[in-house]
Amino acid sequence: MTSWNVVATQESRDLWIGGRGPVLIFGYSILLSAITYLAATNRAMNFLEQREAVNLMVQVALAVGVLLTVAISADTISGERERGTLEALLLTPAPRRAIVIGKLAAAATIWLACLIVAIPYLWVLGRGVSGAGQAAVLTLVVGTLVAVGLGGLGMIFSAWSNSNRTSLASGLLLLLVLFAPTQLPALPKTGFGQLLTRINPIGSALHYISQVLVARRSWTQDLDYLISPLVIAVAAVGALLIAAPRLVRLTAGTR
Amino acid sequence: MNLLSLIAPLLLADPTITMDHDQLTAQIGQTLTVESVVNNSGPGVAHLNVVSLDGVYVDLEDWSQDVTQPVSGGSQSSLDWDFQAVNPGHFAVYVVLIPKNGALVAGPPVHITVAPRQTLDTGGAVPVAIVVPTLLAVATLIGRAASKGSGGF
Repeated sequence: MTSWNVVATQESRDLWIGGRGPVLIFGYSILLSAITYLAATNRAMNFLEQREAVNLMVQVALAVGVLLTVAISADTISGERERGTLEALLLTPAPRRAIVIGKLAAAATIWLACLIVAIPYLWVLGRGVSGAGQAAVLTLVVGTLVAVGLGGLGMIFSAWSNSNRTSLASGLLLLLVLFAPTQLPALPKTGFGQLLTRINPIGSALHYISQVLVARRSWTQDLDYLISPLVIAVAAVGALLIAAPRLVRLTAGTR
Repeated sequence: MNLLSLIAPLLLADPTITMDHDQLTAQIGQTLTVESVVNNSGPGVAHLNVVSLDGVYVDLEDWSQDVTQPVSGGSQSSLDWDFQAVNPGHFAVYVVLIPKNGALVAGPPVHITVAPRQTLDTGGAVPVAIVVPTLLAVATLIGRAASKGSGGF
């Protein structure tokens, strides 16, 4: 077993057995249940097409899944510093790069759990329009890029902070800044809006998903919208790998 | 008969609008496309409009976000209009040309019958909405009890 595997297994165990993972996923399932129930029963939320309801569910699953991934990854290093457990981890023979990759992989398990929990809801909303399978695969592919990218940025914030509160606040602020433009309905229609949507990894991911699910475009037609999530994922993981020896330290910001 | 008398009818011809359909049927939520051809017009603006024949309120913004298109003028200008049928019932969709000079020109209506559709049913949604959180709650409680029993966190 490689070092990063050992770190990832241990971190995942801490997250899922007696940790915060199950409680967070339970809360997430309550949210998805409420949206599914309202979409199926409430006249005010009676969507025009089932595909639009499936699209809404994918967008909520992706948004909350990424939020939870960022929240977990923002705790990975600053949290260990606060709890005084980082020293013990640094004394192990695991290289720093293995530590960051293992921790990022463990944080990404919450995203995978979010995806698995969303599947029954996607199935019930997409019955009859063959939308559930397509939506699940889209969420897996596009959501994983966004979750890894923003989770990686959350880890970088965590490494830069001595306080868990600071890293969590920075991660949530980043998400807020990225999510806010996605709520402007006319944004992708203007030239400047198109640019903003394309450089925003969340905006471009959500736009790509709705183009495939609702507008029924082919997977390859708007593929350029995935450049931004891909660049963020590669850049965040690359930065973590390159800067790992300087990031994983007992105190943030010291040489 | 001189050249002027030959082209005069063309120069003086009133602009007209023709549509590629006169009737359409759709299900609610369906996206439709109609094509209009503006003939013999000068430059202006073409505008799409939707009218309910059943007296239902129509919010044009819900039907289409692009309801105006520029017309450059000339013998023929072809314009495509995409819109989504967002209300059930009987509707007329038509295009009006607003020329730079002169009176408005309206095209023939396209009659659209939009059938309602039950989009979702509660039958499958409620069990899933209850069962998934319940299973997760049980799994969480079992996991917590097991970790406490084994002396973990």
